Amino acid sequence: MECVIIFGDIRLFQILVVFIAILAILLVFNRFHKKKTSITTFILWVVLWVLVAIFAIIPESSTYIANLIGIGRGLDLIIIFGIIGSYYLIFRVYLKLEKIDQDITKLVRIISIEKELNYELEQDQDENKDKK
Amino acid sequence: MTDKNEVSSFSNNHLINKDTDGIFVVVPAFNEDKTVGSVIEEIVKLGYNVILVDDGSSDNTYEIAKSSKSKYPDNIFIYQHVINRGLGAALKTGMTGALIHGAKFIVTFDADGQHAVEDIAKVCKPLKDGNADAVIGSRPFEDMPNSKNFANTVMNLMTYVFYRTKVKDSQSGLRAFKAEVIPKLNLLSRGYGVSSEFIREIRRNHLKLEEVTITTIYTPETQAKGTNAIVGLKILFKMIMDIFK
Repeated sequence: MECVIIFGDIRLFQILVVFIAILAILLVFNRFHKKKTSITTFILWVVLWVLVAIFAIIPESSTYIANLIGIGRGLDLIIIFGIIGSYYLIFRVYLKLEKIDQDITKLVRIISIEKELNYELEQDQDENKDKK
Repeated sequence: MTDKNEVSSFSNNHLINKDTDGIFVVVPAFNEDKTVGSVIEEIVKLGYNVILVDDGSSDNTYEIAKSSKSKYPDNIFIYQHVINRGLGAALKTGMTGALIHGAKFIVTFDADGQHAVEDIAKVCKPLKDGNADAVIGSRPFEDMPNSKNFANTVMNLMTYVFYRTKVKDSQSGLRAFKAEVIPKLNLLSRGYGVSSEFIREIRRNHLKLEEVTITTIYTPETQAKGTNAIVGLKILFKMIMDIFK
């Protein structure tokens, strides 16, 4: 029995994926327009979502590329690259977090040093007042 | 006692002693209100300058340190991290502070009371004699409780594998450096990993290293802190991640 909903030749998941891809691209474009995202990130996300949409509309294309590089099925190719991509992103986030962590430490250090210097200055001023 | 510990007291409780002149003892403290006051006052009484770094403690560490400072305003300097940043970050703040105050020699010293203040002179001696640029006070492992002994042995081994330097006690909190080498040390680790980083930096900068045997005072409080298996695993993970950077 056919369990998937089909509109003519188009399946529901294809419509959903294309809809999500358009939405994602619009969101990224909005952020880029408001200068909240760099051009590199914008291009990267657009390319990624366009690829996802193409693979959804023409599933054979992924099979074609998979065969080219020696992976059996198109879906396997997408999953493998999806996992590799996710791990890469996690690693990037890890590095970024560490950078932020170090920046916070630097900031905390500068605040502590400033505070101590101010304290010393106040102390000197108090001593000078006492002498007068 | 010999002249070594003879301390002359000036007005304002300023303590001056030729043997201890220019030596700044950096004491990082995180929630150590039980011991911090006595530890820093004992150090100051011997004539050393103390840089106390309160690493965002939630207890009374800062207030107690401030009351000690009011007794010895010219010998105790307090730095406070507004949030907890870890041992490595606190040490770096303390060493920066010591340089600002014109230190010639910088000693790191734990605030939990596990080190004997008399050992400060021992770790400084090779620096003053010109025999070393850096000194590590090594705790005798046979005196350690079994779990600590094991964790520290593993850390020594890891330090050797990653940084190719064999030391008797890589995780010791009592170290001494000539002030001029401090800016060369590239310390990134926020936590306990900093102990191994010191060894890496000593090797990278080709510093002359001496190891001096020190005494360790083991109490329930001092045993609860420091390197255990979990801390060891975290440091190992950090060392591996650093390779990929």
